Amino acid sequence: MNNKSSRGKTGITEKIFKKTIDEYDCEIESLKKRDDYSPVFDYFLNTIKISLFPENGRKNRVNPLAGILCVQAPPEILHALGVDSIKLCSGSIYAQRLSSDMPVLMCPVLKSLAGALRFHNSAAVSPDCFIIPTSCDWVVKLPEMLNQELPEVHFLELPHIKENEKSQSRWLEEIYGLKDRLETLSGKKLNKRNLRDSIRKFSDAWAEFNMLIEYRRKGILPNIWFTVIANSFLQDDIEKWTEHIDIVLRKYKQDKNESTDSRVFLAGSPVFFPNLKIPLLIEEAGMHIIADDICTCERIFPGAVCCDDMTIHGMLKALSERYHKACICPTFTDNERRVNNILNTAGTNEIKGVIFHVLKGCHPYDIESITIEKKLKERGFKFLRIETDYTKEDSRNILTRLEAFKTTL
Amino acid sequence: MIGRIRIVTQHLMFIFLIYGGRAGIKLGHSLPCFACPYVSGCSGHCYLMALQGKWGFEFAVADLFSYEGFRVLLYFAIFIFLIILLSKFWCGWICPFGTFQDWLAILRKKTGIRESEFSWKTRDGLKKVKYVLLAFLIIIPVLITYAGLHSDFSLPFCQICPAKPIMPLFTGNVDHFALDYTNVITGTFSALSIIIAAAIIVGSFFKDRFFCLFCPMLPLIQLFKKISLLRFEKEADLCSGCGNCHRMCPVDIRKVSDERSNKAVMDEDCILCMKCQESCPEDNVLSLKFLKYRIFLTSRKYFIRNNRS
Repeated sequence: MNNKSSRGKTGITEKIFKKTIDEYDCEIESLKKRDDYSPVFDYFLNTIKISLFPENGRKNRVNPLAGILCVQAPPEILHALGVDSIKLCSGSIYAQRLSSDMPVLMCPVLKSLAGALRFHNSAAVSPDCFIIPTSCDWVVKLPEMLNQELPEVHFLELPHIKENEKSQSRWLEEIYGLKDRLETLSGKKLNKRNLRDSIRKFSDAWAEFNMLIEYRRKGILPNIWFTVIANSFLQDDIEKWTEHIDIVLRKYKQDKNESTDSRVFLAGSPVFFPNLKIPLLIEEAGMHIIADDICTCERIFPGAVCCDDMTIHGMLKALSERYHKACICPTFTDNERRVNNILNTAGTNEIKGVIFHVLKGCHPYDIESITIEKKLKERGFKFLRIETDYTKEDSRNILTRLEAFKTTL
Repeated sequence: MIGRIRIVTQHLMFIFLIYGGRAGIKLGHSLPCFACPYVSGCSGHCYLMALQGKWGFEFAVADLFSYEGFRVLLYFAIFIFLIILLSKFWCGWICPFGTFQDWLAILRKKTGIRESEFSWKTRDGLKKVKYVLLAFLIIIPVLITYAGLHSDFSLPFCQICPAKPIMPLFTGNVDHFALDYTNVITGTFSALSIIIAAAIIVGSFFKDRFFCLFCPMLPLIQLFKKISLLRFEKEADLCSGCGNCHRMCPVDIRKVSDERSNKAVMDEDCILCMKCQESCPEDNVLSLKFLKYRIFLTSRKYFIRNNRS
């Protein structure tokens, strides 16, 4: 463990930590005051807060804990080996203040995460291992910028070309490497039955989550609650999370389709609690987010894994392909299928406008917005690009733009 | 669900084709699948035997206006009709030798041994083998008729076809596993036949549908792809490129996954087992049509139902 692990919170860290807790509480309170609030969402709101108090999250967990960044590392392998996983992401503006030593133009998600990781530099609560797929440059350099404050970092070298044999077998090697690393961490050997069961649990979770997506498409489930549920993925045991989704589904089962106008697609950079600025502003402007392709919302799952060869190799191969080939993160060289996904989802769900959210410093999305805008406009969709960060100062300006955008739909 | 219907169909067809003759069923000599004529009491014969044997085209040219010449054309016409009607369903759903290979694959899965994999380069290289075999089975009979090649070279493909020694085993006949010492030609052919049959049994255990990678029937069926009543289509724009179809394919076809513009995705090696369609998690991407009627269309709901624990 690193030398800072035993260090207590300094005054400034304590102050910022408290501010961040207030930020979370404030957002949770305002969500609870909404007309569409229901106690069925309490579990997800509480779960989201776990990342602030990892000691609470760890209380009932005797297993080793691994933090996962990005959506390309298969949590199924962790689960099969009895390693608890926690999603590494942060939407807190206050947490960013603890990473003021980092580049000014750094992506807000990583800046906030870096700050949040500095809240808890105690070995008792921080994850035993950090699994980081090399998706973008900020992610790659994060451990270095944190000056070795992270205990164990396991990089997964992500091949950015998906459709050639070399890159696919390279990624499979990385998945095998992850398996080996986790076997050492857990002291267990990966066995067929555990891996198969784990894949099934996550498949079931995906199936339930897919129903939530359906409900949102139909206008039954409000987008903001969908976002909260998606954001809480991997903050708790997967079966428990799935059970609570089932409760939500049962609540909305009887509801009829709501015919909503001003239906929009939200694309682009991650939206993570408590930074719900963009979805809330879109809602305030009178538009409904019916679909998205955000890696912290609809894209938390790459889809269910199906496998014919139920050997360990067969299942690892299925996982590796699912988490690589099916991923439409802009970090890959080829974005045709990502554009197609937007076009098709929008086309089949009476969506007329696409709002592209770019977090300042989030380069892959920024770069991609140009080609996506061109292709969407060619097909007759309205397109609005919003570049912002976690600060609230520009909210009024964005709202005015969103209201103007609504009139064009 | 489709997988289960397929397994039941395969087994029924196996019984029907291997033992049907004993119930008086005769389906002729034009079947586009490996219903091996060496199985006594089978209900129909593989067309490859007709093509190499006495109903091959070299005889039609000699006796164009005779009854024999008419039979050559008739058998060929029936063969084409059956292909147009059912296309590669003959391979994935009916062929008894295909079913036999699937049994070996099931055995492998039960023993927990992983499936062998070919590199993309090797897999692409193997595609050529079936054309070599096809040329071999067409040219040798022509050479026998017109160039005086020894008549023991007749039915050259049947002589080395693994179905010849293997399929009669299901009627208790082990004769074709014996060496034929008549002369050097028969001796060589029978030795080759045993070696190939053994290699295919071992190969099919470790690799799904191993023999289908080399089957000369596939290019013949593929010839009529454009006029077949069955269409295997893809809406490339809807595909997420997840690769499930490639991974699930017993003959490792990449085209279905990688195709980005063409609608028709029936590859030359496709056996229409429909595993790719069953494993596609996206709505409306892959479809199988008979004339204008849709037999199957991929959907997320089907995928979820099919894969739930």
